[in-house]
Amino acid sequence: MLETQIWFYAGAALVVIGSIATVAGPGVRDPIVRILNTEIPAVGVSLIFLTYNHTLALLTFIAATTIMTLVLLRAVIRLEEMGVEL
Amino acid sequence: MNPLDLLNITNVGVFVIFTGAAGIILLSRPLDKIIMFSLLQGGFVMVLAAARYLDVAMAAALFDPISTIILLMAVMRINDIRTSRGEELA
Repeated sequence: MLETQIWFYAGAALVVIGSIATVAGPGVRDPIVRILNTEIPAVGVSLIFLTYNHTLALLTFIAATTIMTLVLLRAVIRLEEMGVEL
Repeated sequence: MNPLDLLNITNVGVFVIFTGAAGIILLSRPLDKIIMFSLLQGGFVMVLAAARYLDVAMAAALFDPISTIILLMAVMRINDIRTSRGEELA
């Protein structure tokens, strides 16, 4: 079935591209840019979950990604307030 | 084969996802990146609807604006902190 292959390969490509962009993308010295680039592999992993019909894992991963973004951004704002050189 | 057969929900959703990913990586200002992140999540909801997981699509549609609002508030806070210190937002 063609659709399943499109989901799987699009997810794998998103994971690879997003990981490389998170490590060495343009303007990645800024922590916000790095956190935003982290969202791309999260969507890629979600597409791979979707290919294998892991519904519960997909729901949990979407919720956990949101909470992870919240916690990381709180930490970054706190460090910026303290004036730490990031 | 009719070339309009390529225009189903899956292909359009994957195209929107890749457009959003390229925008997040290549654009430089954080607000542009957040707009392209919304585009990425919209494509993901489209692919979920193409897979007929409508409950997961509902959960994703509920959680994505929360993530966008958190990112916007964080960008505004960090912009305030950096301008009060006399720096430019990168």
